[in-house]
Amino acid sequence: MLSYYLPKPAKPHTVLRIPGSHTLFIGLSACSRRHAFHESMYGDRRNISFLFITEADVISGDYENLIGDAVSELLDVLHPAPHIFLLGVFCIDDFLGTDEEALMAELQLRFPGCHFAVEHIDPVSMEENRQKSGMKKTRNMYRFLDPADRHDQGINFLGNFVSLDPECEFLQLLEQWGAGPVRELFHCETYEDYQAMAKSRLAVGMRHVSDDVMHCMTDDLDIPYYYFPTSYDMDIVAEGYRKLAGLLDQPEPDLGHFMQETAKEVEQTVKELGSTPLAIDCSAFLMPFQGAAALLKYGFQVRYIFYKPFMAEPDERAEQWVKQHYPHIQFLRKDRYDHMDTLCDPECLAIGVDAARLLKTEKVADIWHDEGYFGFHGIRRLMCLLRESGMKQDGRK
Amino acid sequence: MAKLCIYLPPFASDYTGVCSSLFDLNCLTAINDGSCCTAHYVYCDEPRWEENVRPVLSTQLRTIDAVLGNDEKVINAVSRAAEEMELSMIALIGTPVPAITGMDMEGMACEIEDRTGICSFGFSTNGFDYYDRGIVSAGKALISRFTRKADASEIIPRSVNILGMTPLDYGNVGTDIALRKKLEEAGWTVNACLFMGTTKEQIENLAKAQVNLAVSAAGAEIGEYLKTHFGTPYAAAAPMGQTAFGELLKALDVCSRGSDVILPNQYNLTESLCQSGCRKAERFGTGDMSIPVQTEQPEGRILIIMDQIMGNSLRRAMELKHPQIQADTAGFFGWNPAFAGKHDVHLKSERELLDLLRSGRYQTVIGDPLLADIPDMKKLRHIKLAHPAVSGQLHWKDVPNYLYLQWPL
Repeated sequence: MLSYYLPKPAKPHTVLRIPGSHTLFIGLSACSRRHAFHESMYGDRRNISFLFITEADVISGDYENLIGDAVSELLDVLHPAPHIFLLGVFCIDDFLGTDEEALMAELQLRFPGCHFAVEHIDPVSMEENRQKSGMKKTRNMYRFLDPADRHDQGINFLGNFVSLDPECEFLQLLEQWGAGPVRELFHCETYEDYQAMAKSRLAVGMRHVSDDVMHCMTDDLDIPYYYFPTSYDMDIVAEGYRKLAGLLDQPEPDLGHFMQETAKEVEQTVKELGSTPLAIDCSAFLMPFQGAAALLKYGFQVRYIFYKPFMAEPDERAEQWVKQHYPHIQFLRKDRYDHMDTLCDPECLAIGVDAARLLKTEKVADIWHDEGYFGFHGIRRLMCLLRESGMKQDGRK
Repeated sequence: MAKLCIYLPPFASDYTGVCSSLFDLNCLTAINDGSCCTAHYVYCDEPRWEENVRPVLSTQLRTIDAVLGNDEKVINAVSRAAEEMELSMIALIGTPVPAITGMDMEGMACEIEDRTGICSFGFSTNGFDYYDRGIVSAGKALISRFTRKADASEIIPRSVNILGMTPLDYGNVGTDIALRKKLEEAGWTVNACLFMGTTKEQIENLAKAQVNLAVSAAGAEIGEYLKTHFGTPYAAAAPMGQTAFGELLKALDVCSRGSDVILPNQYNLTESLCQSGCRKAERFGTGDMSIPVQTEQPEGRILIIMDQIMGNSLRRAMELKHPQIQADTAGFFGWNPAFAGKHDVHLKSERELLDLLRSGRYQTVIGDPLLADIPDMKKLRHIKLAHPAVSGQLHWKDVPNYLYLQWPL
């Protein structure tokens, strides 16, 4: 099926960058343009450069030889000189048969003070390895960590692009448990900050893309991990905290207060929204089916779930459950061009701007990839946003 | 090294040029890619995407289909999608992966046309070329398919086609609309505008125009093509401010008498062309025209980095105010040596630009805001003029309406 690309909402993005690293994109200029723009927009332009290959290079295979010369020139020109090079290659590399291992060995030999890794940006292979591709990219971000002599009480958050809201109870619980500091790659300002992540005692995977790196943390750095993505289901959140407490040798936490507060917010929101139908968009909830399941359980009316064929997070179990128990819900691919003409449901409250655009509704709870929403605090924040978004366009506010 | 690019972004590619040209034509534009190329076009290079719903779609090409040459999957998907739409045409756009694996875009387009009965084009764009090549490809394909010859009696007196107007050079800030309006106010009938506000009917009737106005290098190449096939003369001139517009009108008048005009014509260039007889060019006076708010003379030699025709036109507009001004045009994109001044340079790489900036020849550079990322620019005066094919979405809002250009000289 042909895919339509909805206009992109303007959102701030976090660039993940190992301090002291430089990304050299190798390929056609056509393939790397958006990377230059992205890095320019989010303040990382100085840490990337491009090696353009020509048709002649593709035919001769000479582009591999050019990479060393490009690195050499970058080491001369850039101050301070980078000591980690990430080599970004694109779809066509899958067809050129680049000998990645030999290339890495050659570069390592020529530039003994530098480290190298290859990043594949190849949506053409999405069917086979969409999730693996994201994981490999994330894995590259942590592969240069050296095992620490001893661990401290630090906690690594992995896979996330935004820190937890300071009000989130997760941070309070960590503090109660004597765990901290929380270490996140995007807060590392120096290479030493980055290496300090190897000292942490526990890694928490906040998104599925961190799956590979979580395993490596354990295997290579002796840091245990726990996968704890955003959920809007109170029971799942509570279970997560209990398991984490166990991993940190802490007694089971008393979550009663958080749960009561959250249940109250949920109840109030269900009452206020009444029969307002909801549309859930996978750009808002990374696991839209799990999010829908939670909201349905609370008593909300879900009318649409918008999904993409390649979801960022595994969500199949919830998908089956929702489809089985709520067959009236419309499950719609959001990249279908005909939806632009055929869909219209202005009474709907859309969770996510893409769903709002498709349904032509002005009631929108603007959430992006669950960012800023975590734990009981995240559920309460969601409820608050749903009430505001529902009321605002109703004329009630 | 020549192929390393440290400061400038990669530029808009050939497939972007094709897509941009087809945007207004009720065309199902199927970009044969994994997904990145479509994202590049719609998010980096199409300022009209946010406000307009167009059937520009990705085929979601996958490795296995590219390797095995599973053209059928793409043909089926496009044909099926076309059945659900009311279309004037279909275009299948090539990208790097199908180029590497040798997918035959034109052959597939023929198959799609057979199945759907809708006029279909295949573009063998490959991502190695820049946007101007795509605009020219689209222009030539559309003209060869749709444009009808016109008898002398069908030629509309004082009518003009605008050629090579796309958001990749002019943004989406109304220059196309303002140019149409100004031409009409001056007594010209705008027969067609390729490619903003374009319709299939306009393309069918292109040959009815008395003259063509090429407002970019890609437009000039399309102008040459139309001249070869339909005998229509063209002026290569871009609108640069209100006062300089007078020269553009004079160029059209000269053209309407059957001569090609290169505007703005550096006198030595025009003279040399006249002498060589390779092109019948006319020279027209500087008059007393001036550019509003241009109050002081720029110091030293100026380097203008933009589309060749636009750069030449800007130089000419500055010369009108300061006849002694010394400016050279340099550009990375479509380049016709016949339009170039003695010191003008067709740039092949960032390295060549760095060499030019370090040459000590220039004190002022007029060009895209992203040039400021080059350390050598700090020693030079930089007058920023956003070129969407360079800075794309980053500076769409900074693209001027060239009819009302008031540069800070």
